[in-house]
Amino acid sequence: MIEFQGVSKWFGPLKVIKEISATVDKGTTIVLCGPSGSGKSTLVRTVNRLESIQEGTITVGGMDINAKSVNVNTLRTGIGFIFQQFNLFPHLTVIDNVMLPLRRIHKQSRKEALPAALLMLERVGLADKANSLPADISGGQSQRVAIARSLILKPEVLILDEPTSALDPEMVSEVLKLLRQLSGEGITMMCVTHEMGFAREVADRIWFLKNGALTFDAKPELFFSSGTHPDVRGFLSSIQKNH
Amino acid sequence: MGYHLDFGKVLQGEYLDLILQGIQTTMVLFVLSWIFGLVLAIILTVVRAVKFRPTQLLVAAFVEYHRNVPMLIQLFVWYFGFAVVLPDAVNEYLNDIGAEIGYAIVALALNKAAYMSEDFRSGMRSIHPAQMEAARSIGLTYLGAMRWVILPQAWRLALPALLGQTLILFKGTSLAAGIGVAELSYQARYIEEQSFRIFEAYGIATAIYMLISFAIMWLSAVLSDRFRLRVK
Amino acid sequence: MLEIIREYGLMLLIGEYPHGKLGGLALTLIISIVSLAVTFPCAILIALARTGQSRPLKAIASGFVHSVRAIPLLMLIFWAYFALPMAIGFPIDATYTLIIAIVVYQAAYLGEIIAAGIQGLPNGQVEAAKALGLGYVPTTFRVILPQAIFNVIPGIVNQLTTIIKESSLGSIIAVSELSYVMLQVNSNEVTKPLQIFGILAATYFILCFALSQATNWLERRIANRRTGRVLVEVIA
Ligand SMILES: Nc1ncnc2c1ncn2[C@@H]1O[C@H](COP(=O)(O)OP(=O)(O)OP(=O)(O)O)[C@@H](O)[C@H]1O
Ligand SMILES: [Mg+2]
Repeated sequence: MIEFQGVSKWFGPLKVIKEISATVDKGTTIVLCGPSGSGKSTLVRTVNRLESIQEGTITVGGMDINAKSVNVNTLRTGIGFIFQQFNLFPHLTVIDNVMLPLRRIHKQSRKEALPAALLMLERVGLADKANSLPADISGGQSQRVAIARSLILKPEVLILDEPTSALDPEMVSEVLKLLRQLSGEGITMMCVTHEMGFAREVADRIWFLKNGALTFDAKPELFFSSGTHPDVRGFLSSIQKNH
Repeated sequence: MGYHLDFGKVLQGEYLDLILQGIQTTMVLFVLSWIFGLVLAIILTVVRAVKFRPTQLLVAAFVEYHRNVPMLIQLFVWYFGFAVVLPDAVNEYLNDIGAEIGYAIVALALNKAAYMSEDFRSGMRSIHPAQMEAARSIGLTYLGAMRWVILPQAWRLALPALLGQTLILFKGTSLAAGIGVAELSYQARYIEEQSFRIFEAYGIATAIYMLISFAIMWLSAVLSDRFRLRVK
Repeated sequence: MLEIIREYGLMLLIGEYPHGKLGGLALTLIISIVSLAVTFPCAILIALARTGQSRPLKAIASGFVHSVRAIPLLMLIFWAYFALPMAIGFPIDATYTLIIAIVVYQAAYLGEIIAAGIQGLPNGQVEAAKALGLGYVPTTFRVILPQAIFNVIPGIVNQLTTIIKESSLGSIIAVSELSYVMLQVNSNEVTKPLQIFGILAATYFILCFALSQATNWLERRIANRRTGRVLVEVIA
């Protein structure tokens, strides 16, 4: 579904992504982890062209996303993207946030968009918050609304950049539960997270990045076993200490 | 002393007419400069948002001139200065039709445009860049993101400052008296001169200014509250 | 342009002085600084009333602030210039009436700025002072006000800019400050209004622009000082 071939990226003189080649199969879930500054955010942001790349190719569904013929807006409607800080639009109610893509991209009327948006809110368990403003709901609820908003156009790919790191501990599980459910429904998912329990349980493969390179790419069984990459072992023990 | 307050003297006949005319002129000044000022402010904000150095500098110079020169002097520049640029015939005609009010509207509107465009700009700047990113990652175009995500927040954020400018403009219309526009404070002065009823003339004008100012303040409070953007 | 400056430059700076009264830019500056100096204590009283415990004082201060904000400065000047001498029974120099009007007007604005400075202080400051057993007066004048005023220095300088611009209204009641002098020049040299008012505008611009740059600079300094960034700057 998503293929990186020799992808490199520089910020000025700084090479932050180093010749990454890897594949995400359709319907699978990839968890990305690695130390701070290792390039996780940058890598996932290249997939919907929030960041450009200088070398290599990225294909999504067989299409070179950086080809001239590709309309970046069309590309992005097919890829849901979730940020650490939710980024709900504060001037719109929850339901209006979820309806916005239908109304402003698919040009549906409010009436046409409403049923689908309500259904989506039900799926994330927030139908009762439809008319609340983002300022009046919790962090966990905000992130679920953001997920609903990004799923409303039925993307085939969902990308999440540390979706639970800004949340209070008691709210992490409600978001992870939703992600677990989505992963089971067959969407292709790339998720940057340090929730290793979630990774072990849900990920099909785990990617470990270090200094911009994809150092290790393994199934969870191997990733968490004693035969794992030595850098991963160091990383795992360091995050255990912090938790 | 022997001075007895008698508002009846001023609130009748010719004087009452003058006061009513004064109110009308004040409101014309206020409403027209507000509308022109707001429209121009929006245009200035857009021009300044386009990354083209010369026009950005031009707008910045426009804003700084209007913020750092007294409003009264801006009126003088238009009233005394602009006239010499025009041919005599045009000037005569303008004086006949009472061009002071036109100059006053131009000067007030340009001044407000400068201040209001700054308010819009700081409204835009206080929106987190991630909002744009989130809007684009949904698949909105740049213009779509502007139209549906950035601008609806920007005007809400700028609203309290814009309403503050509205009150300042209303009070500022009184400066048009300085170039002979017969608005409310000019009429008060004239009536005082004619009737020697100092306290009545200024008392009534002041009361009218306060009444309208309080209405603007009240409306500002209501609107600011209604459209407040709450960001966590 | 240059001719006008050569001929009237001195007049622009000091008016008719020494043959007549001091005027021009010098008088504008004197009026502005005196106005600010007189406004300052009044503004502090208003700010203390606005932020204090006494309900009647609060109501009076709030009523004053809102009323003054509802009146154009020109109306206050008319009151001070035409009505005040009548009410008190003896004439007052026009310059003083201008200062009186500006002080009344600015007290409402500066009072709110200082009140905001007081409200912006961390709550702990008052409590710490109380914990030390300080009474109201020392708490207010030794702990609260010095910090609040320090934090709003940029706002105070900004008000000086505003006052300088407002003092131009003196020309309407024949106070021979900068604008009035140039209006006189204009009636002497009827053919050059664009140059004359250009020079006038430029004079105000240089003064006010410099002051507003100073305001920005102070704002950054004080924001840094509050977050402790100056220290880092000094060490680095
Ligand atoms: N806009 C930018 N301009 C310049 N350098 C950047 C920019 N964004 C990121 N970088 C640099 O690129 C490198 C990778 O950053 P990235 O944000 O992708 O790391 P990350 O793995 O997501 O880290 P974290 O766990 O802290 O989120 C870092 O060295 C960072 O400083
Ligand atoms: Mg990151």
